[in-house]
Amino acid sequence: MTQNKKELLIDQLDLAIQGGKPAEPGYLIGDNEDLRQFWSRLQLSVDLIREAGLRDRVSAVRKQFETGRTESVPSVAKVRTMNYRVALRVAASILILAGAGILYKYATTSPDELYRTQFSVYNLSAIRGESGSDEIDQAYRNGNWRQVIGMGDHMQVKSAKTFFLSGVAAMELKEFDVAILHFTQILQQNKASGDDYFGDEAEYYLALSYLASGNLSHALPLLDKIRSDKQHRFHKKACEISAIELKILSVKAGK
Amino acid sequence: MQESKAYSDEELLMAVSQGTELNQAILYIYKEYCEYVSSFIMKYGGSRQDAEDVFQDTVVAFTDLVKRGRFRKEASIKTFLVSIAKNIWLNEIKKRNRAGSREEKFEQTRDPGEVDVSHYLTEREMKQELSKLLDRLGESCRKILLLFYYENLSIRDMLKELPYENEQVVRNKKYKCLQYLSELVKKSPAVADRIKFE
Repeated sequence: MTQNKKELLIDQLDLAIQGGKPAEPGYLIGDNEDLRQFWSRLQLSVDLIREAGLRDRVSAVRKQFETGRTESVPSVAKVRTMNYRVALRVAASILILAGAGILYKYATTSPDELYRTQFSVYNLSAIRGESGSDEIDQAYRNGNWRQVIGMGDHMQVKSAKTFFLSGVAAMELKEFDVAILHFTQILQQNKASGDDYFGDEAEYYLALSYLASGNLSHALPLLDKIRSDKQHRFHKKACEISAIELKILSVKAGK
Repeated sequence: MQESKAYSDEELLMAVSQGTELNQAILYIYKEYCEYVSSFIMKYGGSRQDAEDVFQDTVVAFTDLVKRGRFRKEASIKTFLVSIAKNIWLNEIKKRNRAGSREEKFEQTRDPGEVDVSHYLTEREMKQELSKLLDRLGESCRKILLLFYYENLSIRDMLKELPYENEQVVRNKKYKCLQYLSELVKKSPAVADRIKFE
């Protein structure tokens, strides 16, 4: 069987298959059995090629169908799932952060800490109606806290101002029980006399002294009172303490 | 998913037999019949994967039979597809040698009006076996033969798709590739029988 005849048969096949099953080209094959079988194998080969082409095509459409199926029906669920997951993650993160924040706040909020952030030494020039030229004022301005307390103790007649300066001096010396006594004196005097001299100052510093001494059951109602009184001189200052800090202190105090 | 147009049975057969919009037509077949036919296969013991593979073979067989004019509209396309799928699955069960009882039970479930396509499919089975020979051709030969004999491209158009210098090189490659496939077919035992029967 010559190569030339094989190629001629292939050409013949190519021409013939346009019209369906190709008729056997008898003039090329003659009675040559090898050529007849070659012709049969060529036809079968073309069938196989077409089968493979069709299979490839259907397989490609199947993939397209399956992709579309997962993209169309479940894709909505997928997007929802993704959004839902993202939302869950965000929510979880927020909760964790919030939880961590609350825990941190809970751990770090203490009467001592609150006292440190709230207490500032009283500026004597702010004292209403007092020029402050006497010795106790001078000792106070110089930060001679022990001297302030001693001078106040030795005064025969103690004014609200004397009690107040002694109370703040005691706070500076971390002697909160002493400070509480001085501030309480002011409030009692005012109550008895009907005056309100150093009343707001006494209340606020008394509350801080209670805080510092850990006496929350007295500190918190006082702070609440100041926070709810917009006319109070220390209302703004007391409002710097957040409700959550007060709540944490209440919880810690077992209230 | 790409929007596929809807076909009546008549339009679908036309699209498949003429090869116009063939992908669209096949996609429509998938959308319309895949679930139905797959559930049928699963009902008779096939897994989801089996069912989808059987449906793919069903679509290939259906397209081939329609192109060859062997679907004579004695049943609806749906019934025809189910008939093909049942036969393919039955053969698959036989191949897997899975219990005659199920096989018998399955064979007894022929619905009234169902088409007997078993004799067509026997031939296709053998062809399917032989089509594995193409995998031994090599990528370039496979592509050349598919472009010419399946896509029906001219040698000139094939040149645009292939990395060859001129049409003569493409033509020579095509000769060689087809002859090589013919040799593979010759060496295949399954073919010897087929050629004997012709």
